[in-house]
Amino acid sequence: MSLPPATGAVELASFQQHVHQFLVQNKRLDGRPLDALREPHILRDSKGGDGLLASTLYTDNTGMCLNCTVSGVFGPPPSDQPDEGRLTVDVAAPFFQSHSTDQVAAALREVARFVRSTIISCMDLTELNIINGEACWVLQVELVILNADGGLRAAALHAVVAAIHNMLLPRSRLPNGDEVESRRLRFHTIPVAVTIGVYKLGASGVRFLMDTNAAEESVVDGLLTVVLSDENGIITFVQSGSYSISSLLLTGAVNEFALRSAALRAAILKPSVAAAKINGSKNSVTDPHPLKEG
Amino acid sequence: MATISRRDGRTAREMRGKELRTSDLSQFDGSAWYSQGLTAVTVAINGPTAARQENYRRCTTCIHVNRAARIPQEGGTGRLIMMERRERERCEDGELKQFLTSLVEAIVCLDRFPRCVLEAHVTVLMDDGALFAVASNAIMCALLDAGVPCRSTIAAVSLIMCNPEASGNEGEPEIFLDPTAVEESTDEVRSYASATFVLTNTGGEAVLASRVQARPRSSAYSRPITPKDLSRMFALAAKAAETLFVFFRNCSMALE
Repeated sequence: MSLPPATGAVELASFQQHVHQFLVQNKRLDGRPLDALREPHILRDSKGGDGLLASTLYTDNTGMCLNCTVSGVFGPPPSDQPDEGRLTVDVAAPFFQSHSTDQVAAALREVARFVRSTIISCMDLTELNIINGEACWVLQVELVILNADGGLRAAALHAVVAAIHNMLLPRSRLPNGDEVESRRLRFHTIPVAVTIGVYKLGASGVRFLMDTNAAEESVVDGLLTVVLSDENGIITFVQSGSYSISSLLLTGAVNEFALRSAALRAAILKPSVAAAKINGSKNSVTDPHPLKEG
Repeated sequence: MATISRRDGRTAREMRGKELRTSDLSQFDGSAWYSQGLTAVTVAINGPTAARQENYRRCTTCIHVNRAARIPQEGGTGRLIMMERRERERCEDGELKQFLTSLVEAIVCLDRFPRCVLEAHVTVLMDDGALFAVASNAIMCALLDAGVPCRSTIAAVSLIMCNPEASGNEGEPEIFLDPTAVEESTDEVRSYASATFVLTNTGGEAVLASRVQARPRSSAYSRPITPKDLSRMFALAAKAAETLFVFFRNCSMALE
């Protein structure tokens, strides 16, 4: 899951040793406490055009940068689910230089699969249906990783959720002349995700790092990715690592994130002030809360 | 309350028939063919062998995931959907590759082989549900067959959570072991989540790897997965892993 950190001219082993020294003292490179989340900032672009339905730029204060665009076209529904629409997710990392391109490609495919399966667990694809068995909306989500700094699954999911939530499917015309009414997409529950690092301190137990960055992900002994719903139910739970972790610790980590999920969900759905300034005083169709005039 | 019945006649806690063959592929250092029911996976291991690479402290792992049968070609408007499903299948292969890579890195003593590469070729012969569990068990048997030193042995268990009532969130959810592909992806047994857990032979409820996913929202029986459900799944997976460890031990006994 993790893309290796960009250490510049510093050798990776020395960089990891440096991070280890911080973690032994209960410190992190960016000065955060162990249980603090990085605050996401999401810019929305509602200009549209060229078939684009939504576009978001996800950043946080330590360098993660993701661009998400959503396009919509008409297409036939899947033959096994004729009453559903279609959703495709593609992830690209064009600026990532690596000697092991195969591992990077597998990690990006895994992120695409994670985002798609989590989105369809929270949004009813039957909302994209137009004519049963004949026509449906095909949403094409394209994620471009401009800078990766850990927590790739969570950042990708948040960017897509911010783009798709309350997105307007415009009033359109099918090729046979039928008119399709506009509608807004709704999530029945808003997912929030976090990546939790498991750091083993010798024989004195484990320590959890909330919302790891790339440097921490290269030194921790295990990684959890937890996705919670509105009522703090688990949507996705992915754990990997070098050691077995007790189930009590795993459920404790889930409950610890549940305490912070409401604030994170509010940050993801917060309307973008910069986009409002760019668009003047016009109401943005992708904003969940319309801006007040005057 | 109506009892949920499984199409193949199994009870909730019953696993499908298991079959294991090792050392069949003679050109590899170790191989295993493992199946649970109709899900069959072949893993072939090469190495650790010396290789030029920049990691000079530990062995590098290289896992390749292939499928024996890809989605067949389709004409007309279905061709776009077929290409979409193929790309989605490639993403699932990427996820399986990441899962198995982190598993192999956890259990193999990689620091004993600096500047070496351990290569595993995983071929999914047939996928009828519980694919992550079957592939994890297969790669464990292949590593043992190749004589690669491992810290411990593992067993992987797949299960699904089912809604006992036809609607609503009342009632204690039922947990089914070793789901088939139909049980995982349709509403036949009213499932709303699928999970795979990997446990070590040290016992207890310590989990080495986990993967829990709620089913799509458009299914009729979705309900939240609570941390209590997660604990129940951990406990059942620990019990089922003991069955698998007994099976693996009995496979290596000589026939007298």
